[in-house]
Amino acid sequence: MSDLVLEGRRLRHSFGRTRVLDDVDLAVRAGEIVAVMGPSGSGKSTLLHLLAGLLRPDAGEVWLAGERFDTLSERRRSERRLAELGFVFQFGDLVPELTVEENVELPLRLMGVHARAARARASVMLERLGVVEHASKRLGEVSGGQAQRAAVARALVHTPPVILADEPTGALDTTTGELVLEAFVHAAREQGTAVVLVTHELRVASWATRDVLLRDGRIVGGSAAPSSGPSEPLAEVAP
Amino acid sequence: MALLALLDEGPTHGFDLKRRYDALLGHERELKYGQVYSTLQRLERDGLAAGVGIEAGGGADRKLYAITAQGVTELDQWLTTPDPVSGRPAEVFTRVVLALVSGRDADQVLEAHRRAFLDRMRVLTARRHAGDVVDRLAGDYEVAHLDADLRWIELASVRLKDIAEKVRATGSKGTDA
Ligand SMILES: Nc1ncnc2c1ncn2[C@@H]1O[C@H](COP(=O)(O)OP(=O)(O)O)[C@@H](O)[C@H]1O
Ligand SMILES: [Mg+2]
Repeated sequence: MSDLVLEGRRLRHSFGRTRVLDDVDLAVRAGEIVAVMGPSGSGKSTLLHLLAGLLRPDAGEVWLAGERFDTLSERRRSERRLAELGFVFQFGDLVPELTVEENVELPLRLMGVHARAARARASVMLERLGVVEHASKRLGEVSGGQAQRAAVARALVHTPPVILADEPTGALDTTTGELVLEAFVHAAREQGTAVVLVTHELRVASWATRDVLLRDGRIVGGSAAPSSGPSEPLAEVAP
Repeated sequence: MALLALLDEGPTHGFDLKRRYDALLGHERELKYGQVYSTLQRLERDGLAAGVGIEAGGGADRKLYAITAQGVTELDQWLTTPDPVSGRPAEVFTRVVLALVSGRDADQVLEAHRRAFLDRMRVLTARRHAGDVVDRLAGDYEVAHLDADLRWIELASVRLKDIAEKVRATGSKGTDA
């Protein structure tokens, strides 16, 4: 059980009277890429927000690195989120006043990394995601797809043990989408990062090591428990 | 036509054509020598290819063929003229229809195929850096087709649920959708 990095147990959540998630279990191990699939409105984003501690569940528990997470104070959750989670929002949340590279450096700067080191690391990530030539542009000067890749770079820049990504290829065509997926595979392979990848596209889900299927707030398919033993073949990374 | 396209690179003999065809396009279905030689004879008869000698030291099966001017014209035309788009239903479609008409659970048919198709897609994705550019294109092609089939499966699941709800709402007698 020691390599379980993130776990949601019997998670339940409602908005007003509407039950959006019901008894959802999801356990994720280091180095796994789990695709969370399901039609629009099935509760995928809500599940990710609960796992990230951005929302508190009505019932159920969230465990991060073997410790209860959902009951921590707001401040403690933010601290741990910064250090241990990379989050890619479905609709982006980069800071519009900053340039692309300043946005990507942000987690490192907040963690106290020296400016020069942060910049160097940020440009490695921007390079990997194919947007390094836009590094010094302000957010308003890049396309939605470029901003989305910058958001992925920001989530990965401080090599957190867990990445939560909400439709991270939603604004991308097949080839730029593959840059994002390659970056996740690289992180999973090289750093043992656990990735929870929300998508409604099966083509994207085929990059994951396993998948779960949500319908109307319940898990109806896939494998919610981590696969035991050596994980299924992880997609190959370019040498 | 595939052989004609390979001949377009330069004159060669049947043995070499088979080898190159199998390497490029064979994919679990290699050409038979018989097919190669009968195709070459037909191309020659139709004036699309012509015999241009025998490879030094070779026997009768080492006859060298070259594409003709008419062959080049035909090849160009063939490459840019798509086959009629047929919309031929895939096996999964057939099975869903048969499950429905025989009063069985079509959702189970869909779910089983969804699983199998996604597993296959995962294998292809994992292999994406193996092989050369043609293998890569072949993989992309298959993934795109699986993706289309999977989209249809998702859509069919929703449609079947709608149908089931309508049947229940009207209280009419019907098979389980
Ligand atoms: N902040 C909110 N307030 C009220 N309802 C919400 C809110 N966020 C999501 N919902 C509702 O919860 C359901 C699940 O939403 P969501 O988790 O975003 O689904 P998905 O990401 O799978 O499309 C939807 O019916 C949606 O309308
Ligand atoms: Mg969503």
